[in-house]
Amino acid sequence: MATEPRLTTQTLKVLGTLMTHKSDGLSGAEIGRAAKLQSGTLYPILLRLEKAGWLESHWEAETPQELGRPRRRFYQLTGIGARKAKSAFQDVTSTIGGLAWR
Amino acid sequence: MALVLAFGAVIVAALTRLLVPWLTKRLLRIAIERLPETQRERFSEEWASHIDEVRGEIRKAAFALGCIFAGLQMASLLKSREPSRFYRVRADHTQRREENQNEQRTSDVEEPFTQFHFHCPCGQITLSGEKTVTCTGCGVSLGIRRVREHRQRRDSVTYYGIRILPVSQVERHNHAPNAAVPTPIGTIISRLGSRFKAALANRGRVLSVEKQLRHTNTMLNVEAQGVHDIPEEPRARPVINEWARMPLREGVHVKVGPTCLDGKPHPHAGKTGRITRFMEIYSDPHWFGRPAAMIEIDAAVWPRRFIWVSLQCLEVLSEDSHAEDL
Repeated sequence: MATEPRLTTQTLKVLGTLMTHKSDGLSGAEIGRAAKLQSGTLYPILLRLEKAGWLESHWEAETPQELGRPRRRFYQLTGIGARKAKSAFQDVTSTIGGLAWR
Repeated sequence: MALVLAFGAVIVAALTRLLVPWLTKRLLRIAIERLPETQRERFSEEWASHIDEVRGEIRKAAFALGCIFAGLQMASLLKSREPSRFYRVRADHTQRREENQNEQRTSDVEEPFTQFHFHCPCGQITLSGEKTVTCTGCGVSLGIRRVREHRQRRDSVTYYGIRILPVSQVERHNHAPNAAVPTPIGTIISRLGSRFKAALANRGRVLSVEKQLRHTNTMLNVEAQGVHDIPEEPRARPVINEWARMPLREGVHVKVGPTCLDGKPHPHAGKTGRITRFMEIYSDPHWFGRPAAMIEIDAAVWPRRFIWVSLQCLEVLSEDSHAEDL
């Protein structure tokens, strides 16, 4: 069974970004821009959440030849991840306020 | 002064335009090399797509620099999940007896058998006597090679595991763990002597003490006369060649008589065979101080059977009668 990820401020930012954008998924660049995280912080968090089963990722459907650029990889919350992220936000909100993770 | 500064700025800009993209690619390559092999292709493309969205060469270089730190963290994160290329092998040396005794004459000899325990990184343990197996869990090929190191003892064997890449040392056995360690002959003689002395001391005035010591395939018989009745001169041992009454020699066909020298029925009565060797060892239970012969029994079975018979119990058969018997 996967271990639970540490819910740091940066992790909560990533989760909040993914919960806010209800779409097919966000690329690493979009998450980084929205959460204002650098690559050295962002990608370990994404990998940790993915290994824990909170996130799932998939490649763009088109090939790099069709796109003319490298493919993006999109991240989105799983059902378990969404429930646990919501629970985590409720805990944080009740403890230190709603704006703590924004 | 302003002209010099302007010229310097132009030079710096040109160098930046040339050097920073090269530096970015270099940093990104270093970051990807930090990752495990299975994740390199994925993040190579993902980070390339990310860096494509970053504006400015300096920012791209900063992103690539951050990827190095990300790669280090992710490598440590994936390290425990990545199957190790090292795996453990345990060798058990056991004794295996040949099942089909009719195939070889040496079927009664126990041959050493080594069983290897292959501990695959997937967690599956495969037992095999072969040095190369396919893991039943993940299907990878596992194998070992045997290496004798410099100045290593003969009974010390080092096994190394090999899968795809060279691996570290896995296990070493100085002795076969399950093999019976043979007792030194000095120990056997010492035990025999102590038992012999104890038997003499306990019996007192005994006429004969016989002690047997069994150890694996070694049987030693000790016969002693009474302590107060030991003759001055040793008993004269009969010489086989002086037994002229019977024309016995090696290769003669003989038949075992019905009784032993003491009148009891002979356990090998009626058996025929060819004398292969004369014996002078004082341990035949039917010998009674007389020479014995090793006889190869005429039997169409394999392995060949040999018996040990006193010469006085033998009857010489002619070649014709022997042929009729066969």
